[in-house]
Amino acid sequence: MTKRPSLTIVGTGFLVAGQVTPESWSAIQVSDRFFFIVGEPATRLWLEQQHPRAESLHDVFWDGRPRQPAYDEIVARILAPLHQGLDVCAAFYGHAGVFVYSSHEAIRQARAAGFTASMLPAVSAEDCLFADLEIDPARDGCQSFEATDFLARKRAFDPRSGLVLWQIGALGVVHYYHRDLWNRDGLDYLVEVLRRSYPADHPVVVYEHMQLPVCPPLIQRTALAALPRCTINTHSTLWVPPVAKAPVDEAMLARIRTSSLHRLYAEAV
Amino acid sequence: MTRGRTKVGSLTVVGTGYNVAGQVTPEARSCIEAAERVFYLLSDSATSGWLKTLNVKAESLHDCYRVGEPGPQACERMVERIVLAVRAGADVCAVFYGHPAVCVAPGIESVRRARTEGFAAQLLPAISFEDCLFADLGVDPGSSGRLMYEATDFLVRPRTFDTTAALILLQAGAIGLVDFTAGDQPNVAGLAVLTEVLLRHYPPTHRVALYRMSQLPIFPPRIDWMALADLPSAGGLSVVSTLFVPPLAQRPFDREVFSRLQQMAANVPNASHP
Repeated sequence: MTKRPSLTIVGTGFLVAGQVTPESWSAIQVSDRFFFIVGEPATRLWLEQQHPRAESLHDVFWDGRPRQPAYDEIVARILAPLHQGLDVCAAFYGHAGVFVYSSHEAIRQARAAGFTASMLPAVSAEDCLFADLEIDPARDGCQSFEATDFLARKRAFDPRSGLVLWQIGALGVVHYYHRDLWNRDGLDYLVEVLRRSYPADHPVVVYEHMQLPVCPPLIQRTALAALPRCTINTHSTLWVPPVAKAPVDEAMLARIRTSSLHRLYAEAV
Repeated sequence: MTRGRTKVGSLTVVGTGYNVAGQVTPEARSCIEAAERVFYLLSDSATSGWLKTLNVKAESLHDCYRVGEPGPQACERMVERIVLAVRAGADVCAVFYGHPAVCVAPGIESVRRARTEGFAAQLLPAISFEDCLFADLGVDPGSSGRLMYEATDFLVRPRTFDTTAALILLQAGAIGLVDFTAGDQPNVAGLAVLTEVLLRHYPPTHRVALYRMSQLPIFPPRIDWMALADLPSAGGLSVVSTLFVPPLAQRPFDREVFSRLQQMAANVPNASHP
């Protein structure tokens, strides 16, 4: 019986080799073909040295190209060697499954074609945000949205839980551009929407995770109303802390207490 | 590894992920190896055994727990033990399971206390239970947005939430179990209460998953998909089970808002900030 070719998708985190997990690193090393799509140059250089046939997929993007055909091309190139019986590993920046279409799609198509496919977890941008801003997302709950999606889908949210808005520097942008898109008008509009739920002086943080081991994360603390005056680029994320603790539903609390007491009783007998 | 050093003694809080040594980042590993004092709270002996091979001085914090006592007292005991070593002038590394900021009260609290007292202190990111869930269930939290709540908190402090975003409820098998108690029997009755609340927002046929990540390299994760209405009778519930509720169908973009945003983006003259 011949072994079925497999696809393993990994993420590199954000610190060149500093956040690559041992299991992901082994997956890169043992693959027959290795693809990567990582914008950061030092990580690119490091990845090129990890495999004799490392191949960058960066050439699928060019200024003004719509995103979808670029994503489809990534999937097709990752899958091609599987059909030749080769084991493939593909590396993405950060966590390969977060804000990445092609990784999930490649796994779906590989499985549909009868190949073994899996994704390994990696350090995500949100992991860096929680660590650097010292936030426990489970404490008050955490709501996380892409900023354009948040506005255009008029997302329901609760200001008494944390709110993370991604890509506040690319509001309204659907095409790929290799430059910062700082949309001041868009930020004014975002603030206008948030002001319906938070006071003008509510403290917010514009956050950019570390890109290199020597550069600390960029953390700008400001009042909500002053947000448009911050330096913002396509990597910027907005953290809005809860305004207050949501009140306790006493009837529900009593029901839950009863349910857990039953469980303790069941354990004792 | 620490930034803004002010006094002798420092604290770095790291996480090991979930696959014994398979998910620890090289930066976290270096911190463990270089630290003068290492404290850890890990729930399996393979991971703690491996940790001691990195640094023989590693000490467990597990004895901070007392059976039947509320969690915050154990947390306070851990924080004090960690910060005491920092005060004594040591470069300290505290090691937790998963991501040290997520659902780990002593991680953030010890960093804050050490910094308040003038010591350099920081947390390093790590693989969280959500990172495993996204990878194992094939979920992109970016495509629909995602909401994360601790299951008991979600029930006890009701909040407005968007059912067209992915919903992740952690400790869905441990609803109402706030104390550190012996045994690890899940609260099945609590899951029934949660189901009742979710049925007010989602159809009974909505497919949900109970998820438990792999704890050891040889075991696959446990993933049980079922209709929401069948959740209370689900097999395989554990105190560490996470409930994943996929989003309902996405609302279309509001045309007016989106065209306004696009127009604003088109007006951006160039890259530079004024």
